[in-house]
Amino acid sequence: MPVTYPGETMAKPIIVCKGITKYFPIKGVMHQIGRVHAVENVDLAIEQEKTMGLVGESGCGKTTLGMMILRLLDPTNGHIYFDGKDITELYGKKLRQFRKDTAAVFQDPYSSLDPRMLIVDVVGEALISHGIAGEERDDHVIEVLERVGLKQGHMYRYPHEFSGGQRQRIAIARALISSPKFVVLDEPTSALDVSVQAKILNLLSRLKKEFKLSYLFISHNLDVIRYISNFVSIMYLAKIVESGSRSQIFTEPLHPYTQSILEAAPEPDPDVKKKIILTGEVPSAASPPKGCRFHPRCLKRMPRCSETEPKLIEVKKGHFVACHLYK
Amino acid sequence: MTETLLQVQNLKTQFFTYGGVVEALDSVSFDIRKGEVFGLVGESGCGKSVTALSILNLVKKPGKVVSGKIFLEGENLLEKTESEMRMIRGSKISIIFQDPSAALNPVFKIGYQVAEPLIFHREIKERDALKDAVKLLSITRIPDPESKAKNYPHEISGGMKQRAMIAMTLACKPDLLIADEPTTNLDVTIEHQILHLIRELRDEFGTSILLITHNLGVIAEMCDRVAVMYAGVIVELSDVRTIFRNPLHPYTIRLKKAIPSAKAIGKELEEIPGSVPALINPPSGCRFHPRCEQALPICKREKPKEAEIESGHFVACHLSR
Repeated sequence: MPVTYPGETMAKPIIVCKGITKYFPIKGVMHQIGRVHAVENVDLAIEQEKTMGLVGESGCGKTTLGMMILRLLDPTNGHIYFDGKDITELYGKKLRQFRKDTAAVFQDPYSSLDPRMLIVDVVGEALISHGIAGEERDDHVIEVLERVGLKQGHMYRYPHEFSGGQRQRIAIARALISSPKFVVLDEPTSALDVSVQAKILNLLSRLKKEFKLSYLFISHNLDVIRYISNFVSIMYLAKIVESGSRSQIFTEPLHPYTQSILEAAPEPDPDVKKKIILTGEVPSAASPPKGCRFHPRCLKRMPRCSETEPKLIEVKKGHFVACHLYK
Repeated sequence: MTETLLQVQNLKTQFFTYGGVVEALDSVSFDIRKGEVFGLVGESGCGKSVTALSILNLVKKPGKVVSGKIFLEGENLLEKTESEMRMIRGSKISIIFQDPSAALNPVFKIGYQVAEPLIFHREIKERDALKDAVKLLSITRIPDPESKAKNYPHEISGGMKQRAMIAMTLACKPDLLIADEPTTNLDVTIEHQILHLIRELRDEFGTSILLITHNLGVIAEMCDRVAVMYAGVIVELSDVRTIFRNPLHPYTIRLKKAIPSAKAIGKELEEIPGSVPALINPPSGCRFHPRCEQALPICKREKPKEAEIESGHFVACHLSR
């Protein structure tokens, strides 16, 4: 492949996104009156058995991107490749196979589990569509429950009988039941306490090794991203502004936005004093600013930032940034 | 010595449910000095918010403050009648909640909601109060406060709503501001702005702040002194530097280690075994003992007393005496 994508090294990537875009229509009374640019022209690659961390503020398109990669949403433009095959046009049997190979864990374990279903049905539901039922299904469920640290005795209980951390374990078990290769983790620890979060992060790292999984880990918590990711991409208003390995992003961040979120994140150390304060708020995705989308809030803006939009370019090996300061 | 503003002594709040008595707070004592930011940190269900509600006398049935004293400048708040408390809430003590969308009334304009405490407590005419509200909004750095005052809550962003909430609490220049997870729902950059704003207002008006959060990062950045809560008990209380540099209670130590910090990369995070106990039937003795690796036989039998290890550093643990 002549072009490398953010997050791609020599090994074969499991996911490659090429120029994917998603617009949502804004409907008026009679016809469409505008569109929300949720994700725009995103290139991204996720390596096999690696974790790609995706960071950004709320409304920047992180979740939409994750959903498109799982084909829970169809992109307006662009292509997504899973294991080298284009999945944007899949249907029928092949789509079902793709569904088996991918899974998702969502943020809120209280709303993502059906309160009227027994754990065995919640976790085993996916197997039905793959033609596995009865005792065989139960055996699979027991095995996967034990892998995530729950017991066989938990099978015939309802979600309300579990704590937040246990529910998230159930959600992880449900994701793993069809032996996927790739899992989207959408803020899996944001609703949990620190001590429970530590347990879930340890579990996810262990499962990654055991099942040879690749993760897309979406979060706004930079500590968590730094801990779990091999590669990190930063999103701002529907675009990736910087992407690189963990050490590149956390030790030598290039984009002013990355620098300011790293600076703003509260650190558990009373002797660290914070300096830069990022003013303003995230603009609306329905009418993003002209030129560089970050320029109205940027401390290092230049005249051309409000005119031309910077392209995502590779500054160092594997380190991509979209900013006029670097070329 | 700086003056003490609020003194909480042996506060016990319980909830009388059908399932049994929930001992939400068990002998909680601390004091807040004038002009300081006092942090209350702990995991969900440890009693942080119940402490705040007890101070405001807002614990709802089936909950009740069973015993203890809360002195605000020498007056016991728990002996006040409801109408006396109404005069204190919003004027001497104000509170900012976690979710500003839920705390603001969706059918009133921002300006009116900010002006309301002035109309109620200061008996200012509505028209003048609305003008003051615009001034308050501009203190919290809301851009274009005049037009924002005419907006309804759904028309402005989450960060703006939290600023409007802060403006509302500042209306009567309270002595004590309780901030209950003020930035938990906000993005990092907005969180940073709001925390900065709260600290600036403290510097400007000398308001004491009780900051409740589960985020140790926020505590480190904001607080002068901190109390760590676990299962309805304050386990450690000290100035912020000591809590981070020289924590003594096993729970504080483990909680700090559970944060996925830069040092933890590539290693397994240290977990706290077990989970937070149900407070309907809390563990005997030290409430942390079933999860504590250093637990001694005495921990199960006897409740550890708060002991002052160094000046101003209180620890409730049998190990550190």
